[in-house]
Amino acid sequence: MKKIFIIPVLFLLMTFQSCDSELDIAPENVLIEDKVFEEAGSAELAMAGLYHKLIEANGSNWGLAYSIGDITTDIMDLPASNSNMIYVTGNIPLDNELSKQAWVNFYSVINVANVFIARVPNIAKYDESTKEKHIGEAKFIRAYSYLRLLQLFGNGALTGNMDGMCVPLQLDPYDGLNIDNYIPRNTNGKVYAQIISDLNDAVELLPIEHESYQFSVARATKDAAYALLARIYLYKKEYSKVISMTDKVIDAGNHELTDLGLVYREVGDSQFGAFTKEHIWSLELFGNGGNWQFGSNELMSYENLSINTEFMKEYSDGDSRKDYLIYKVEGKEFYRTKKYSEPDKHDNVTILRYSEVLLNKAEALAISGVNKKSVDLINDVRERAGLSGEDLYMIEDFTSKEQLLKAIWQERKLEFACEGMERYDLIRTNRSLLDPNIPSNRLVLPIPQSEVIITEGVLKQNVGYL
Amino acid sequence: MGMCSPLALPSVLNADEYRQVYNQYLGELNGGSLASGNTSTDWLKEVTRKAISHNTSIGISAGSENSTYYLSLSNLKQESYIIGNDFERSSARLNFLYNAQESISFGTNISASFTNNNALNAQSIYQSAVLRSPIEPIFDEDGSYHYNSIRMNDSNPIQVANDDINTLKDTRIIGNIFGEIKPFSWLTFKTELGVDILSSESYSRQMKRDWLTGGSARQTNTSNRKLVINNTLTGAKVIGDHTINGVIGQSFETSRENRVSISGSNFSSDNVISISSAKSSKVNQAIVSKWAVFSTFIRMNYQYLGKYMAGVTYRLDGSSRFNKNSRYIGFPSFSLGWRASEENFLIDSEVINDLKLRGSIGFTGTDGSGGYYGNQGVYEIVNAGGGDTYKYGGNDVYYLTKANNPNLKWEKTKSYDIGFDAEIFNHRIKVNFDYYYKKIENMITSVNIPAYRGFTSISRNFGDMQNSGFELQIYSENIKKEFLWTTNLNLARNTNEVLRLNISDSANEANGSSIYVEGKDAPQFYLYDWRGVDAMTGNPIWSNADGSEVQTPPHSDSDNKKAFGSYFPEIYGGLTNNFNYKGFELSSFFAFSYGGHMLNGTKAQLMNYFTNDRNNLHTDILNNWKISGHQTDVPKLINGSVEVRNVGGSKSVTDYTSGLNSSRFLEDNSYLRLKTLTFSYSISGSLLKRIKVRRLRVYAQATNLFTITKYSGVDPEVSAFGSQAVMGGYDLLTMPQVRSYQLGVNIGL
Repeated sequence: MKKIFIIPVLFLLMTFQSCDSELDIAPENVLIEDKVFEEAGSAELAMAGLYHKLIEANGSNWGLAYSIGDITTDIMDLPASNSNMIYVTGNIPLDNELSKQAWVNFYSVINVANVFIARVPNIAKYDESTKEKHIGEAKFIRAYSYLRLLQLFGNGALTGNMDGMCVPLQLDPYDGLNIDNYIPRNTNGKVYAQIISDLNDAVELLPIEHESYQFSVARATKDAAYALLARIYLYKKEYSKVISMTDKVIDAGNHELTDLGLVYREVGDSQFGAFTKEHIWSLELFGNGGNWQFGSNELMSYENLSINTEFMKEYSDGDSRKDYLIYKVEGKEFYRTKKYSEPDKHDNVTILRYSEVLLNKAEALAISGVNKKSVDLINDVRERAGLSGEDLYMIEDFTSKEQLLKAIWQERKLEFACEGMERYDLIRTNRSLLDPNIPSNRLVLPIPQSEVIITEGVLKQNVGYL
Repeated sequence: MGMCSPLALPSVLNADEYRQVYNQYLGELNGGSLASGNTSTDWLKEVTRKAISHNTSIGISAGSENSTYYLSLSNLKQESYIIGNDFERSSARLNFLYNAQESISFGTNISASFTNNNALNAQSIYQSAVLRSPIEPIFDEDGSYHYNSIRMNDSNPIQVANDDINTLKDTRIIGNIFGEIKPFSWLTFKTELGVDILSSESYSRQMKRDWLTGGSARQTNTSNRKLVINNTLTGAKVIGDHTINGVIGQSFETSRENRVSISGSNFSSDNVISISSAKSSKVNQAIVSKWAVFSTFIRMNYQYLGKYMAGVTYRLDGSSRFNKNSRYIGFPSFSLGWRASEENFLIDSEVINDLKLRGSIGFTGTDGSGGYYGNQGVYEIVNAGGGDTYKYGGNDVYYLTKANNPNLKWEKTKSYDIGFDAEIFNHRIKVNFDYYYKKIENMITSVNIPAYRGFTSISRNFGDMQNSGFELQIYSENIKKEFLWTTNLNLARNTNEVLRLNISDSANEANGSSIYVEGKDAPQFYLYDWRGVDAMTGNPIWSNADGSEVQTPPHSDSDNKKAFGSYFPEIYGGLTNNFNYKGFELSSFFAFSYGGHMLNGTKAQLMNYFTNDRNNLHTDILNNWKISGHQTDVPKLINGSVEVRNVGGSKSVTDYTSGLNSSRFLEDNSYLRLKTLTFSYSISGSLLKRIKVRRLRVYAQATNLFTITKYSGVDPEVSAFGSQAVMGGYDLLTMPQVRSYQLGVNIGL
């Protein structure tokens, strides 16, 4: 009888032994930071996540961070009852959606870029060239994200006020919170300096091209970094640097003006979404195929709001950009852009094109006075749009550099309509937005009021909203 | 069988009143009006009904010298008071125990149940019927369903109720086999093997609409297999005046779930159900997930002379879901007891028949990570909704979904409990009383952080909190003769207090309208202070942070928000009375709650006439301020807290009066409710024997017959977020409970 007693005790001991290994069930689909950055393959997926998050930051899920560049100008025509009229009138409440969406998402991108920059040198076990590429891409993405925050929130950043309040420069990854270390908003000058420093590093680290042409546009390259630097120097009005940066892209010869029909293909084209030499950097969605579920842009406005019919008249007859830009919605008095027309919303989000590089250079040269090179560069862009003869400019058409600059700005408007650019061009050249009554300190958004509250005033609200 | 209907329905405008209010509003706004017409639809009446339910059950138990068994079968058919929605469940259970010898026995318990839940759309149908404009017709002239053209992707609630499908079919089998060995008379070893198999199939379908060509459907099949092994060793021994008993045991549970979800759209006809015949279909998800839990515990109890008791328990849990470094978590608890009524000075007491005092201390804790990887930063492939993953350039992407959080400390809870059980006056009054105090240190909660750090909120040890309160139960036999009257009273009170906060008040504004404040109970409603309507101007009056009263919205400065107390009642409980006379029994059960608060979001929605949806409104809107001197709590339609801006050629409206962030809709939800009233008759002795039935009882029962409350919503007991403690006290178009009448017969064989 005593022996029976031993059986259950043994049984208990044995099961305890065997159960511990049964508890080693790691969750699928999840990895910890140390593991992600150990191997090139998983680090690549995290990098793809950064680019994808930029689509979100630019306003997928009906956000406006990208399209505010058009809807606050006379390119788009918002119905007066539209709830986004607040951005047009500048009567923006502190808790508006756009501020929150842009701020939260761009900083979320910046945090992961910071992780790459901090961890890859220490943890990664893959080859040096891939490591360099990853750090270069992370710096490029961080620079682009700070540029977007500067465009939206930096008070006076586009009009030369280098002491105006911009955004806090957070350059380390999240690693616990110390509430005594809240960073106040840095000045526009500091943020510009950080962006330029990151891009200068990126230029060194980034490759000329990636494994396929499609990826060379979908991911950052040397040319993309130069082109972005050119845009930034244009905003900073450092024109000689604009010329040297644009020359880097032009001289490298990787890009050219291609047929417009290839830049913005018709829906149904079997090559729809394929990049051409015109594209320098775009956020790529078409390669996902399938239905909406694999990620889509859903940028607010372009597929829901009408293009201003008055603006359409600014195109000359025969300007093929009008045909590529605009279509009339069947059965309705609505005009929409073909740049965002794919039914599953897989249009790539264009960020940098070769024509911008040319027009940036034209503008930088024109600052020194009327010159033939600038006129030629505008004409290159116009000729590609199918214009010729009378519709091309002659140097004699311009009696002052102001006239020439106006022509360049108008060309930018026609060329980049519905690419989220016009608002910032208007602000940096002291021209008014659609609503001329917006006070100058409301040409930026309020920072999310929750940031002011949570940091207990370390972050201060933009003065126009106090 | 029974019949039920909603307790009450929100009081909304009829078509004439609706036209009157909106025409007044639009007229004042921009000289506009609603399109003329004479359609009138009472949507709530259209979607509700008197629902019928049937419940049949039979139970047989029997036994012989060596074995006992129990068999039961039951079937429940229950209609929802929302049309087209119903629920059915059938179940069977068999318990069997066999005593092989004096020291060995074994047995099995098996149950099977089949559930067909076809009432999953009820809440959404209810909500859209409350809000839908009464001037919208149900059908267009051609007999097809009418959709409201102002609303994006409008659904007609009658179509959703009658035609759309949203069902969940569950089949579940739970069984276990157990054996017991008694190697000694004082020692029992029990081992048990259990399985739990659940197979469920859900199908939801939106039939075609003008914006949804051919309709769309989704089907999810889940099968879940759980296996449990339990072993316990129980010993009990009396040595002289000492009694010792103890249990040592362990259990291991493992689960495997297989989920496949498919969806399709554009069906050739609404009659085609199978997703394989949809014009476009895809697999959304095919996932197997597994987890395992292992626990072991030991419990020792000691008694001396039946007067003094002491106990100690230790339990160790290990889970596959925990971080490997802190996978096993063990916590002890201790208890002491004293049966005072056995002492010499009480043993002969006429008054006190039994008195036991008891107390215990327990410790628990959590590391708050809730995950395999602890507090390390985690990257995940991201679901884009519908089970698909985000892609960039055709590849999956990793998102950083959880931040590296190295500073997170364990949350620890200490619980103290003291109480007594007493029986007095010849056992006719029984009292149980418990007082508890629970202190949580370094409580973990998700708090807001500055978003420039890359996250908007993160788990933090936000502070210390205490909960204390009492529970009292008194059972009394008031009259105990041929006429028997018994009363049972339950009372409970819980107070909690935030003792210490590690973070600033502003950082913990949980969802915009609640907050934790040091020294106060949590969570506090955190709202702008609405002070009624100025009878002279018809504008709302607000009280600002500095106490000044203003007639413009205070919302530009969130410092103007004030803490308005928590939703917890001061005291709540229940009172049962039973009257019994010669087989007749009358039983009533009242529930009550005093001093709690509810944010009446239903009313807030029904006071919002500013949206383009033109929702229906509460009848209180008819009391809107009309003329100087008019005393009312509804401001004039366009008032000082409604900002109207001229934008282009039309008006853009921002409303500050109907949000849930003001105290306008915060109400006292104290109530007294007759939850059940039952009248029954049990047929006695001789007649039963003649018809060979052990027990025969007929009864009539009513639930939720009446409620006394000041709460202006339909039901003071609803909670929009269920039992989530942080989110209590919200009524957001939540379906009210039912009032039901039942007739029944119990027969025991």
